[in-house]
Amino acid sequence: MSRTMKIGTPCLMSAAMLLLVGLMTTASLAQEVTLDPKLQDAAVAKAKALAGGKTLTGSIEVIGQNGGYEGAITEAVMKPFEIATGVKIKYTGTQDANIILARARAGNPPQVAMIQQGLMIGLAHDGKLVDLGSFMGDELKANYTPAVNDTASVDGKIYGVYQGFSPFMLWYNPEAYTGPKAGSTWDDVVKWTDDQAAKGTPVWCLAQEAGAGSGFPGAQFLEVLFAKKYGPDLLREWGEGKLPWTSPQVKDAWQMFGKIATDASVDGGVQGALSSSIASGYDGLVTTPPTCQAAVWGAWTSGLINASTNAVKPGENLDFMAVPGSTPDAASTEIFQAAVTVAFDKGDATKAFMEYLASDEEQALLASANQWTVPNIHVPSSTYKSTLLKKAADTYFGPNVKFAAGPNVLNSQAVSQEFYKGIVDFMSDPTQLDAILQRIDAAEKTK
Amino acid sequence: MTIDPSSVPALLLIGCIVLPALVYAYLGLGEGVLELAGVRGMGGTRAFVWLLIPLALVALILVYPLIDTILSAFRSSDGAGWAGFDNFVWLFSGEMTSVLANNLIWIVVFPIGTVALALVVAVLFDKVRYERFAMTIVVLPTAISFTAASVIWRQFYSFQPARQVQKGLLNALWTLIPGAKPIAWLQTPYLNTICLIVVAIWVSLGVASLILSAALKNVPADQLEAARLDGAGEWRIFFSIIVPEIAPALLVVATTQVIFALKIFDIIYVMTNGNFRTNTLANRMYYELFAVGDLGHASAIAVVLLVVAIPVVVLNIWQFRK
Repeated sequence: MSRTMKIGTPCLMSAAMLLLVGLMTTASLAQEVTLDPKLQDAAVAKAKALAGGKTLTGSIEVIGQNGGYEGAITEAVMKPFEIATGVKIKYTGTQDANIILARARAGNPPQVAMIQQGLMIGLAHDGKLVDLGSFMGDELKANYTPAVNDTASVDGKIYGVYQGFSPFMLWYNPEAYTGPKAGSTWDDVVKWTDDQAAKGTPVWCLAQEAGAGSGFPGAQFLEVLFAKKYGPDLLREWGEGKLPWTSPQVKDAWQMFGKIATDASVDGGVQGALSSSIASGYDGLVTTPPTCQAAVWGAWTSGLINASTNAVKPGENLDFMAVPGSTPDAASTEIFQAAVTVAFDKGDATKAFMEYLASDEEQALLASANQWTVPNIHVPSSTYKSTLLKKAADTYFGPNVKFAAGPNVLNSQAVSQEFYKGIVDFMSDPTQLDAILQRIDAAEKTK
Repeated sequence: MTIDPSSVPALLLIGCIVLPALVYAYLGLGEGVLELAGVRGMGGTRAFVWLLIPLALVALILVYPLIDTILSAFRSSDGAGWAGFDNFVWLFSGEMTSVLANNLIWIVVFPIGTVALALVVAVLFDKVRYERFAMTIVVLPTAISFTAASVIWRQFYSFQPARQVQKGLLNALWTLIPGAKPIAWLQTPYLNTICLIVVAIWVSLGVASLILSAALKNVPADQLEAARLDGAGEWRIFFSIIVPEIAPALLVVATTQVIFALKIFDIIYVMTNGNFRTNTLANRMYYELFAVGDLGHASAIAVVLLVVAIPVVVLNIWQFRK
């Protein structure tokens, strides 16, 4: 054996062994999810009932958007189905929905996927999705409001079930917040931002770094501003591509966002915001001392901050209010973020699994994870351990709230990616706004 | 009993038994036909029979996709109509020029960085008794995929604003310096490209070091001894004897890294997704094909990458044959 082989071979083998040990150690240290044990038992019982005496075998591949801690929650609430039926659930979390699209085009989709509505609409029109109304329509109508079911429907057929369903709100630290209270207008918020900036106090947390999805929090913030000024109808037109990205209204929304996303107004400056990971970039709301006072983001914000800091004291150092509107008529418009769970496969196991995901028991179990609100109307707000999520459920899932769908949920993959990149580019250089809007508009026209 | 052809046992059955059996049967049949025809002794015909299956596979897996991609590069976005050279005009204009510039930086900096560091590692480790241990440390990242390495280094490069606790290793160390502010490693143009290249070098260094270490050990010891006896210093020995002797290995490593740099994708995709002027051709190709669905644009990028890679591959093969 040559001297090279004598050195190279053991080096490679040692490296592989060390790596294996490292990976096993890392896996054992993964964050654990705590769910209500009684609700877990109830979910297992429900899954057994749904199996209805049938022998379910094999596995179900699920591709979703949640990873890390949120991915662990997603897997944990699917576990009762596995326990009850023996069907193995193989979950993969990825921000890259292109994988689902590519596999669907190739005729090799996963059995179940958690996707945005825009992608759902395209796949439904291509005939790739299972019409859930054909076997669980009654349960969907009983468990969800018509408004919620409508957002998961295409041409009158329901194709999706929601898991976490998150409205957007203005988060603030009551101990540090000096801004406008509930019932004020967005102009009041902007004035307060400018006043604080003049004093040298940046008041906003605006973290954007999310790997391939960087820029999406800013995109959602911008959409909230649009919705609260121009209302649900124009928001939907924008999401469906009927209102161009270069229109005065859309440009106005970008400029409104631009007034917040400045070096003087954002914790860490614009570059800091662009560089800060979304997993920890909003921690500044609850740090001691707080490094920001406000953030506009989804209902998951408190769960995300608490997972990172373990320092959230609901109602004390973290609370929320509805985002102030720019006009009275549009002030009650609420946007939402929710991946809709769809099925590509009509097998017995997949059908039972979809029924399980829509059931009261599974939704209650998901609510007990304390990360998201759930849209199932039979899940009482008392299920949430977090007073903030209780408040969100009471505030946003009442009969008078109208959710509106916009680009956040209706966009195609290409437009979404251009939107997020556009946010990053706009924050870096606001003078590029017109070029950015033209680019996104071009992507809209090619879909 | 029905067998699902996509199940693992079925795939094992097909891959390990059925396919080899079919190939064996074909070869047996071929030999039999050749013998009956009395041409078994003719090397050319017999070679053709044996090569038919691999050639068919090459045609199916390599040649057909290649031709289809080249044709697609001249077609419209949905592949239905002809676009002439429009896709190539798009590729070499507008925002794509910055993407091309990034690839150029990768093609130059990454191979030079890898070769230089690998040479340093090979030369220095050759002089110590704990060479095996040291080389193991360097080779360790080779066992990780580029995607996993990207996730690791994204944590290393993590940035928090100045008033917050730094969770990224590099900024945590950097801010220990009095007055130093955290650096947005992945968001600062040009610096971010270098940071991404560092990740690629980190993963590639192990194999490059092994190749150069092997070449180094084949430098005739008597030449080195004679040079030392003649009074040559170590630097003179390195540049006048060692480098010329291991030049073929250097060329192999360099050309291999250039080919890799041309198709760099996963590091970019995971760490920045092409934001902050870090985009590369392969990442853009992925976006054009899977997000936008523009077959013409994606194919044009693939064709350009192929054309640029061909001379490098030819050089690499020529070097192997020497």
